[in-house]
Amino acid sequence: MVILSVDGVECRYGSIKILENVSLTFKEGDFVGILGPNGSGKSTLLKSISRTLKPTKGTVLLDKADIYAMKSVDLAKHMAIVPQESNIGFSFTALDIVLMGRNPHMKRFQMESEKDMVIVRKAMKQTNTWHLADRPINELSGGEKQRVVIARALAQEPRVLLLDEPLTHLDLINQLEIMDLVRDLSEKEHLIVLAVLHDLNIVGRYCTSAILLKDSCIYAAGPLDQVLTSANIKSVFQVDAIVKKSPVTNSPYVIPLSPQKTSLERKCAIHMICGAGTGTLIMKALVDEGYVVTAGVLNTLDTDYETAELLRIPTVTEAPFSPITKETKFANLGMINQAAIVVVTSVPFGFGNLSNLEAALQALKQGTRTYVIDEIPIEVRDFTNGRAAAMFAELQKNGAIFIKHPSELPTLVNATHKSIELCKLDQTEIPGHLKDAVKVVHSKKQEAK
Amino acid sequence: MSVDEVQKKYSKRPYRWKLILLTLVAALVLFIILCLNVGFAPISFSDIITIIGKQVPFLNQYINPSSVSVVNEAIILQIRLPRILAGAIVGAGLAAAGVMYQGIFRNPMADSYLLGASAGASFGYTLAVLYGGTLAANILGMGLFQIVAFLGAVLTVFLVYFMSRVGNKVPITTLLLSGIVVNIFILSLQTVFELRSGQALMGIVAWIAGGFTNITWTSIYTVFPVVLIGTVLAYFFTKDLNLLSMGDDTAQHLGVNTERVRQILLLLSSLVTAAVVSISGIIGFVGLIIPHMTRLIIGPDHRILLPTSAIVGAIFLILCDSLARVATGASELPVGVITAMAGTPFFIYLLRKRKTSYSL
Amino acid sequence: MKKSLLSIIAIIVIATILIAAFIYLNYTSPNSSNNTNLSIVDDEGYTTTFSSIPQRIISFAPSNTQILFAIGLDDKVVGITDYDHYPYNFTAWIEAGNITSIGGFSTPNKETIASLNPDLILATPINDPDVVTLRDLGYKVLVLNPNDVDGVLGDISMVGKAAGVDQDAAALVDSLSSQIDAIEATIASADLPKPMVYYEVWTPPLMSAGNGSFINDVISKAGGVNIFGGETQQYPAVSSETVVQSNPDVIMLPTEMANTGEAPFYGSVADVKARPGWSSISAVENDRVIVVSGDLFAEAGPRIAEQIAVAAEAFYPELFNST
Repeated sequence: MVILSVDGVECRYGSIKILENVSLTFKEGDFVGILGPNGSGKSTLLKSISRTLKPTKGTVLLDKADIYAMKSVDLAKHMAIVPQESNIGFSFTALDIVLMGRNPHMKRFQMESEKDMVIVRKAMKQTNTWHLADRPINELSGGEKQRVVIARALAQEPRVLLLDEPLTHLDLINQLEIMDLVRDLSEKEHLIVLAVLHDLNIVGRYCTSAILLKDSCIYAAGPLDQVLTSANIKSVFQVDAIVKKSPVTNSPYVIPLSPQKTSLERKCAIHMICGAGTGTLIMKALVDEGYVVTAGVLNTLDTDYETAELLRIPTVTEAPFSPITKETKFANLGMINQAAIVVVTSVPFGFGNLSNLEAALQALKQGTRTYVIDEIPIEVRDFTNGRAAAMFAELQKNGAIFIKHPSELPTLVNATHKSIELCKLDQTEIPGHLKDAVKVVHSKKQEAK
Repeated sequence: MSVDEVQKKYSKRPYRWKLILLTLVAALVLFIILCLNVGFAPISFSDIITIIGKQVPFLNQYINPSSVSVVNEAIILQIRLPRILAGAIVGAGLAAAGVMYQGIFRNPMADSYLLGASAGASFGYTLAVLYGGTLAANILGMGLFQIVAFLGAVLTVFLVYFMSRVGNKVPITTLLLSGIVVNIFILSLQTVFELRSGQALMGIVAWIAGGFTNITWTSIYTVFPVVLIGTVLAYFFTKDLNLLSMGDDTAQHLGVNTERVRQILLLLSSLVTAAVVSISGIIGFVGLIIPHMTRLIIGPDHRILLPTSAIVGAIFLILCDSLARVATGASELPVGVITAMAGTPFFIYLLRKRKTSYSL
Repeated sequence: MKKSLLSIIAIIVIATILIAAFIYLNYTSPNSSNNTNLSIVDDEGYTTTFSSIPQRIISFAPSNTQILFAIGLDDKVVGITDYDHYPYNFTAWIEAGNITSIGGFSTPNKETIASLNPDLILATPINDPDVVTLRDLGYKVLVLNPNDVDGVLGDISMVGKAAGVDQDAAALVDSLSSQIDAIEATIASADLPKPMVYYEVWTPPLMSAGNGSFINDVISKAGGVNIFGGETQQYPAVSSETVVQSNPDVIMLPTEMANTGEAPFYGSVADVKARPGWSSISAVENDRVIVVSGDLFAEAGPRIAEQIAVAAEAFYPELFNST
C-alpha cells in the first residue's frame, strides 16, 4: 500500500511564508483535488511534494522514505509531474518526448527497448496522442502538447501522479477524457493522484477528496461533501454558491451566484412568489440591491427555497408534494402584508401552488404594487385548466405591472421604490432564520384569529 | 503513418544511426586523403600514396621507397598531413563544443566562445607575442604561444563561471551576462595592447583570425587527446541533454541532476574549445552553425547529434582550410573568412528548404 | 553499470595516450645531430647548433637580407620576402623566378620554405610563432633583433660565424665601425650645440621613433637629440602639440620606403610646414626640414653607417658637406 505523507511542512520564498504547517496523508486510490484562490499556496504545495521546492520545516515521505533524501532518479521512478506549462526548446517529435518519460527506468547507455515502446504506445493511446507520434512537438496545439506531456508522465509508470492545472488549453471533450483517464488510473492501478484544479465542479465530479487552501494554510481537507460546502466556498472564495448533489453523476456540483454587492441603503420589503428556480436570480439581485426580500410559498425541495435559505430570506414553506394548506396560505398572506411590493415570477402553476396566485391577486387588490414577470406565456405554464390564466387576466385588469424580462425588474423597482414608504418590516428584528420568521407570522396569524 | 510504421521507424533507429556515423567516418577519411593533394608545392597523387603507404606498418614492404624526394616527404608528412588532421580535430572540437553549449543554454544562438574562451585565448596570445618572444616554454614540446593561449581561454571561462555562482547553483542568465561582460572587458584590454604592438600587430591579428599555418605534430598529439576524450565523455551525457531541453524542472523530475550535468558539460566543452583555440586561433561559424545544420538534417536527439556534428565539423573545416591554402597563392586567407563565406549560403539554403518552422 | 562505464573510459584514455605517445616518438623532429662544431646564441637567447656550413639560406626580413648580401653570401640566398628592396631589385628577381618569395611579414608559407630545403633561416621577433613551428620541424633559425648600431654589428658577426664567413663579416664590422667613429670624432671635436631633432616615422596618426628604435640611435650617434628619445615605446604615437612644444631644430621626413615614386605619407614639405602651429617651430622657421631617403632609413642593417652620415650632414651642414 503506497502512502504519501506530508508532515508539518512549511515553505518560504525568502522570508515570506507561502505554506504553513501542512500535514496530509494520501493513499492508493486517492484522487485529490487541490483548490483555493490565487496565491493561496496550491502550486507551492504541489512543488513541495514534487521535490521542486524544499520545505523549510517538515517532511514529505513516500512509503516512509524522505523524498528529499532520495536521488532524483529514484523518486522519478515513482512520481510523475505534469507541469502547468511546457516550453520545449528543440523540435523533438511527440513520441520522442513521451519516450523521455522512460528515462528514470533506463540505464545511461540503453537505447529504448521494445518494452519501453509498448509502455509509451499505451500511454499515448490512453491520452489520444498516438496519431501525433511523428509530429514535431512545437507544431502541436496547446491542448495536444498538454496531452503529450501527460502521456510522458504516464510513461514513467508512476505510483504518484501530480498535475498542476492540467486542463488549461484543453477543450471540453479533452478535459473530460483526461479526467476520466486519470480517475480510472487512480482506481484500477491504485495510483495516488493530486491535481491542482480551478474548476470546483471538475473536482466535485472526479475526485475522491479535496483540499481547500486559504492564505497559505489548509482550510479544509477530506471527503468532498465536507470540503465542498457553501460555507467553505463563501469563506474561501467570497462567493455565494449553492452546492447540490447531481442526480446524474451522484457527485456534488456547485452553482456560484454573482459576487455580493453591498448596498448601503436599506430599502423596502419585496415578497417573491416563485418556485422551480425561476426566482433564484431575482432574489439574489434584489438582495444585492438592498431590498428586504421574503418569499412564499415554496416547498422545501425547491431550488428557490435553497437559494432563499442561502440568502437568509424568510420563507413560508410547505412540505413537498403537498398542496398549500390554509395555514400556510395565511402565513403567506401575512408576509405579503408586510411587503411593499409583490413579484410573481414565470413559475408554472398547478393546483398545488395556485393559491400563491390567489394571494398575489389579493395583495394587488389591497393596493400592494405587484409585478408579474411574463417571460414565458401563461398558457404554456398553466396546468390548472385555465384558472391561472384567468387570474392573470384579473391581475392585468387590476393594474399589475407586467414585465417581459426579469432583468428589467431591479431597474423598475429602483426607480419607484422611493415613492413607497420604507419597509414596515425592520429586518433586524427578525433573525435571519426561516423558523423564526414563521414564528412571527404565526403569532400574527394567531392575533388575527 | 500507421501504428506499425511508426513503431518500426523508431525501433530501427539505432541501426540507422550507426549507419550514418560509419558513412560519415568513411567520408572523413576520404576527404583527408583527397585534401592531401591540395597545397602550394606540386606533388603528384601517386607520390602522396607512396609516402603514406610507407608509414602503414604492413603495406610498406610493397612500396618502392626511393621514388620520392626527401623534401616532398617532409612536406606531406610534416606539414600537410598534420595540418589536415588539425583541421579535422579543430572542426570536430568546435562543433561538439557548440552542441554542448547549445544544449546547456537551451539556446541555438550559443557557441563555445560565449563565456570568454576566445577573448581569453586572444588576449593571452597577444601578451605572449608582445612580452614572451620565443621564451623557452617547452612543456611536452609546446611553445609559449600554445600554452598561454590555452591557459588564457581556460582561466577566462573559470572566471566567468565562478563569478556567476550563487550558493551551489549557477543560473543560466547570470552565466550569460557574466560572459558578455567579461568578453567586453577583455576585448577592451586587447585593444589597448594591440595599439601598442607596433609591427607585431599583423601577426596578432592574423592569428586571431584563425588559421592552420603553424601546425606541427606537436599541435596534434597535445590537442587530439583533449578533444577525443572530451567529446567521448560528453557523449555520456547526451541523454541528459535531451531531457534538459524540456526545462530544468522537468529534467529534474525525470531524474537528471541538472546542476551537475551542466557543470561537467561546461568543463568538458570549455577544455575542448581552449585546446583547439590554442592551435588554430579563433575560427568562427563552425561552433554555431554546424550543430544547426546537422540538427536540421538529422534531428535534435543529442545522441546522434553530437557525434554527427563533430564529424561534419571536421569535414567542413578540412575543406575550408584546403580552400584557404590555395585560394590566394603564397600567402593565405584566414580560415575564419572562408568558413563564413562558404558556410553562410549553404546554411541559408537549408533554412529555406525546410518548410516546417525551425524552433528558435 | 558504473564498472563497465569506468572501464570504457579507461580504455579510451589509455588508447588516446598511446597514440599521442606514438606520434611524439615517431613524427616530431629530433633536436640535434651528432657532430656539432658550432653553437650560436641569437638575439632572443636561443642556442642553435650547426654541424655544417649552411648553403641554402632564407631571410624573413629586408634587414637580414642586407646583412647576407653585405658579407658576400649572395649565392646562398634562396628565399626572401615580398618586401625586400636592397641591394637589388628583388621584385624583378622574384618575377623572373631567380629567387623565391616566402610571403609577407606575418605568414611565411611553410610548404614553400620546405620546398626550398633551407639549412639556415634568419628571422625577426615578428616571426616568433612561425619560428617555434620551424624549429619544431627541425629547421635552424636565428632570430635577429638589431635596434642600434651595436646590435647591427653584433648581428653581422653572428651571421658571419654561422655561415662560415667570419673574416668577411669581421672586415665589414671594422669598416662600418671606423666610418661611424670618424663621424663621431668630427662632431665631438667641433663641440657645437646639439640640435633637437624630430623624425617622423608615419602619419596618421603622428608616429615618431622612441628609445629602443634604431633611428633613435642613428640620431644620437649623428650628434642630435631625439625629442622623443625618452619614450619607452619603439614607435610611439605622438601629438602635434608635443612636437611644437619641443621646438626641434631639425625635422627629418623620409620618403616612401622603396622609392616607388608614390607621394610621401605626409604629402609634401610645404604641407608639413603648413600644419597648424608648426610655423613657430625653429626647424620650420630656419628651413631645416630635411627629406631623407625612405629606402635608406627603412631598416637597421649594414647601411646604418650611411644613415648616420646622412643624419650628421643634416645636423651639422657646416661640418659635413658632400655626399
